[in-house]
Amino acid sequence: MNRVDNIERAIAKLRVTTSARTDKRILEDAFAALQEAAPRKLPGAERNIWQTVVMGRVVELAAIAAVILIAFALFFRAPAAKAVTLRQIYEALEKVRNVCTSSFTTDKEEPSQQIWTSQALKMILFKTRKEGQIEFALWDIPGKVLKIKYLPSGSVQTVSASTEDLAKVEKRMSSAFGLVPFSNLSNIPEGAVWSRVQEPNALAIVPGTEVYDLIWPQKSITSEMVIFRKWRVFIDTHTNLPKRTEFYSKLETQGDYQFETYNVVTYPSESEIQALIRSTFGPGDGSSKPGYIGTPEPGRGGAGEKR
Amino acid sequence: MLEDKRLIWRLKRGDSEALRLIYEKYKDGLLSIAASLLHDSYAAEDVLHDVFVSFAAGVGQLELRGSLRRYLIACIINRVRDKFRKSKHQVVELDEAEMIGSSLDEPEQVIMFSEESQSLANALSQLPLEQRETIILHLTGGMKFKEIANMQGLSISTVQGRYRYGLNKLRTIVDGELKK
Repeated sequence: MNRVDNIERAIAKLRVTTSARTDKRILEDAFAALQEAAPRKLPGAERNIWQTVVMGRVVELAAIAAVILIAFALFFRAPAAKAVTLRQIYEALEKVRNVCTSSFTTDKEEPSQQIWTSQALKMILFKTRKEGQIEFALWDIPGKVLKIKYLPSGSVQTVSASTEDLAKVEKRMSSAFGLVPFSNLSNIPEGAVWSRVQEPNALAIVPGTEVYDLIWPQKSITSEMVIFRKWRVFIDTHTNLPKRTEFYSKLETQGDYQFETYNVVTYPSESEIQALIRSTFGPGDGSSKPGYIGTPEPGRGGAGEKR
Repeated sequence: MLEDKRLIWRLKRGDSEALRLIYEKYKDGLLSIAASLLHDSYAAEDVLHDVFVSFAAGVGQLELRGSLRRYLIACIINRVRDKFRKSKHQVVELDEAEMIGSSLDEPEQVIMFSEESQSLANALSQLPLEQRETIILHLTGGMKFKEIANMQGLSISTVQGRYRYGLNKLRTIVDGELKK
């Protein structure tokens, strides 16, 4: 297979097939999507002329009325509070010592990953779901160790963390906890746009927050195309701290942004994180000392499970 | 092509049998493209899943200009690119991605090609994505350079160049493996 034409033939023959289980999963989900879409999209085709003309007219009038009402409401309402700036968010995060981020994908109810970061303890705890098991990984900077625990087996490993890895952990801690897309304001690319979101649906997601979008262009790594990225952040109106963040992207040729992932952000106390580490790895942890005391009893589970 | 148009017509009216027929007709070809590009069987199946679920959900608005096959291949390519994009999602996460949990050295998942194709699939995975994409679309997807150029928004000469460079690099990798 050392000739180009042989390679071409061999690549053309590269074939894989789906398993029956995969076929079942895909078809079931696709049928469900089809059924869900059908009631919304198909009735229009079944309407008669009378319905189309009269109902179309009614909907048009209702839309005009709604626009007029919204315009009045916007015109006469009290002046809006001053918008939060990106700088204020970075400044608010600088004052925070402990953060917990739960990452979700659109199709799962449970977080795919949770990260507890404590600048006070100089520790980061990851809880990651992987193929039916849960992995806890504790990066302990003062102890210079990485501790890993797997559930449900409950097995624990403790390894020395390399200087390079510890530097990455520290960098993450000092980069606004990884909550914002850019580690500092000066890294935000030219052409980025920061704007306040007024859509009622977005504002209803997290009560007591204001919603903002940061949109910036980024060159694709696979083609000449430009990708537009959107980071939506839900800011606590009292503290200017993010309570939720969402990520979207679209190619320059696409119309709508595609929703990718979202994070729910909370700000636990130092003692809460210490308690979580202790209940996960045993009483020897939660301090800067590397001394690890035994494997927790089976069934004890991670404290993250209780949250 | 006419058969596909008929299937789409039925599908737009909510006919799930039409969806099954389209899936059966194209699934293996599309999975082969995704698996060759991603070199990861789980990710390739996820891509196929997402493409068909989105296709079923959005078929009401679908205005097919070219062939259904080309359309589905384009959907697969977009999803594969999304996978790669997500891995380089944000500046902060670049470092984080390497550090996620404890998996600094995540073992590579084994692809589901037959044994004799495995070394070739391994070699393909070492090419830059844009070269790999061009080679796979041309050879596995059966697309002409002009069609690939249209899909990628590039000139034909750029696509041909990527194909040529990719193939030469692939030959070097395969030759190197044989000498070992």
